Amino acid sequence: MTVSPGLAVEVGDIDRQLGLLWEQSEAGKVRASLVNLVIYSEAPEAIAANTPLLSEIAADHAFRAVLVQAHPEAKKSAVHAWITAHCHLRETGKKEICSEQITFQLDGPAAGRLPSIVFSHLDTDLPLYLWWQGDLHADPDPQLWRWVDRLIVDSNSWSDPAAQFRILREIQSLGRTRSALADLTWTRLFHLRYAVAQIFDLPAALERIDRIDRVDIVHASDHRLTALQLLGWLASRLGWSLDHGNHEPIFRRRDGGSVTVRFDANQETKACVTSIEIGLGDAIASVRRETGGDYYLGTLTAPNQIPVTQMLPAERVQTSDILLSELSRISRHPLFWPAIRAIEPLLPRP
Amino acid sequence: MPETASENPLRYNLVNRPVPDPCIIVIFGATGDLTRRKLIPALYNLAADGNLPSSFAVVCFARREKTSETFRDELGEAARKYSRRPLNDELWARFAANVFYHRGSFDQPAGYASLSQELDAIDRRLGTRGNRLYYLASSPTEFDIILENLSASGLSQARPGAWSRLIVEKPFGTDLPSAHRLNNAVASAFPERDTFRIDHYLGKETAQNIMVLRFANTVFEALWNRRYVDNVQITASEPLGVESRAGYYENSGALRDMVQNHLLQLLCLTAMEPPIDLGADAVRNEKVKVMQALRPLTGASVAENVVRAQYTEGFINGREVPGYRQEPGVAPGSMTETYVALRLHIDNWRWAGVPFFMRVGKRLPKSGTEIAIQFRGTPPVLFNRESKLQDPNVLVIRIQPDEGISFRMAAKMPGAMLQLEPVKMDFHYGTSFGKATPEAYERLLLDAMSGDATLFARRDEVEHAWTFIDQIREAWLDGTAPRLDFYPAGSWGPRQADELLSQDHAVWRRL
Repeated sequence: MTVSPGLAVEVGDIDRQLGLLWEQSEAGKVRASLVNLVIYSEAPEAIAANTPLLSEIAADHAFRAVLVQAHPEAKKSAVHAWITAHCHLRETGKKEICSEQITFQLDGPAAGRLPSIVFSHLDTDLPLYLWWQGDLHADPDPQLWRWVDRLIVDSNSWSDPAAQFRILREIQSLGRTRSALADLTWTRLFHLRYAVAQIFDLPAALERIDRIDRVDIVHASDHRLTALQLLGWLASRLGWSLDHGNHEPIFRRRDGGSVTVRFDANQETKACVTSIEIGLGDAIASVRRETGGDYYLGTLTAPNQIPVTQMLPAERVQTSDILLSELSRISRHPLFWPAIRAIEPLLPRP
Repeated sequence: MPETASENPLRYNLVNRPVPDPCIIVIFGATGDLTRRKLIPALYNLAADGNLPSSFAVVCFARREKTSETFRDELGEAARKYSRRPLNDELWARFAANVFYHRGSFDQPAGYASLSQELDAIDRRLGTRGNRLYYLASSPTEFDIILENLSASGLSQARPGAWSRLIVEKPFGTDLPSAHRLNNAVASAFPERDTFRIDHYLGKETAQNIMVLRFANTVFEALWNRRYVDNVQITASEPLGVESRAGYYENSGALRDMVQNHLLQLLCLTAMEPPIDLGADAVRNEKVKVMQALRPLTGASVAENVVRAQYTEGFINGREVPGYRQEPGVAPGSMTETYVALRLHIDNWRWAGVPFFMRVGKRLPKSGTEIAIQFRGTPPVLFNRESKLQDPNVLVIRIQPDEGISFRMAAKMPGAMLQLEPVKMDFHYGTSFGKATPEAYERLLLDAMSGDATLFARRDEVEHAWTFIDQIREAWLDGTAPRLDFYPAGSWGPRQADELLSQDHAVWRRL
């Protein structure tokens, strides 16, 4: 697996050097690209962390990647650039499929030139996906955001989610109508939401869906926001409104009944949410994931019925898998903002 | 209060396809190859993707003496071998726990009565709600008796609030009268809206992509007519011989085995007008219109437009292979065609005057199914003043293998001289989308469970196809068409097939 960002090149010479890279490459290699994937990070190890991740993603989703590691606090303004390619053999005996990566390190005032750097190195006509790692800037640059087709964030990594969601709304108001938002925290919940929905396809669960009175969520200690988004999805889909509480909130159902919620942070687990148990009056629906398991186990226990269990696919925990899942899902996420609104008062604050 | 899975509020926006209802699939002829190689692996993969309904069971109906336990073990071995993803033992165990073996004779009502009781018991135990999907995977000779018994036992009748559907595996008859008989037998047991005739070609991603290519891209549809298209070539070639299928193939031949179903379906998708929506009937209405506009080939016109041939001994990949008549199970004087080439015309506004060439053959040099749209040449001015451009534009839709689309165009070779060369723009599914493509049966089973018949053949489509094919066969049988031609294994077919195209100043593409 490659960690080096590749060949160091002059910024003004990147296109020519990329051309040379392909001219010199062995026969049987094919350059492919479906999207421009720009990653922006201010973390000190961003290049070392993201280069192998891009290599993994390239195996399943061809792209041109522009990886930007910015050090806005650096005193001296500087731009460094590297180029590399990630090649993978998709099927035995077939050609190797290669994705390009252009890496930049932007120091000091040069970090403010992100739009100029990005726009000069995009693959023409392909959509622009921008994965902004870490906290968003409070003063979004309209020149950049207007051209982003898909903005990818990971709200679980934010230091102040309430403030960051406000910035996110502002960025979305700057974007063109086609720009879409993807929160990897929300993406991580896809399979779990799917498993919960599947359990409620069972008649004994579906007929009790308006009588939910309890939700217990066990989550990894660093995934409180993920657990909250799961709760927000349930609340928004079922028309619950927040009544009161913070650590153990109580929601009000449409019929006036109450739903008590309990979160249990688990230090041990690697999965972001280990289980959800939903009280349905006289029945219980639960979805749980065993440590290291690839599947969720959904169970419905109802009076006078043999408990029903189902195995349903669970998401993988690696970031590359979550990002791939997002890249392969072209659609928007219309349920995301309603889910966030439902839990907004519960968002962690610094 | 929501009552069915489709009303489940938590389902909203999770997947953009209909949710299959809880149901039981009953497979007739379950001990055959289709069940082991295709159906059970497809259902397991649907389970692994979380695409099966919340309550689901499979009942396998066959004659042989077996228990559910031994049958599950056999299916487990087969699934391990044929599933596109590795088997997860726990998931397989849970999936297999809801697979049941039901012993019965297709012609004995008692077996159906006990099947009915077993299905009711499963409904009560698993909550499958009386929904049934019957799959005819047996020999076609047994379709009639199974349908008769399904009807007589009341199993084909949908219960109030539930559905009862039928999947029929091809061949849908062997000629028009037998297709009529089969369709009548089906219709006496199941309404057309609940009948799903499987042609697995239509479940392939690239076949589904033909409509996307045509109707989701402005540029192609504008050129998709007699004004710009010179001819269309549809090819299905395979290096394999008759293998172990001589018994079937001797009675079928290439025309009935491939042209009547797969190739005519591809022709319809290529030539049809845009449907008014993507619903099953809108799409199938347009396909039927193509069949109706297909110029019939009868009597002498068969001799002019159809070439039939049989392979003789030759070489495939450097390996010597026997001729068709020397294959085990084939009659020494067999007249069965292993190759057919046809020139077809669609007499409608869009395609008038554009020949559609079709060829299908065994023991051809390589395996491939494709549709090639050959565009007209440029006028004889500028670069084409001396008719130097030998390679007009071609758009190729590759169905299998290496699914994708390519476009050939002319480009100037670098240098001081003005020399034009054909270059190819190529899109490969495997290159652009690393994600594993589901098997055709996965998509088709899911659609049948969800009640979406878009990718299945309708009765009138099938009967129109047989009408067309029968006329060709009649000409072959009454001697008005030339007798069989021959081609050596490993060649691209007989000389007569090349001559068929040369009359239209065209040549077959070399795959």
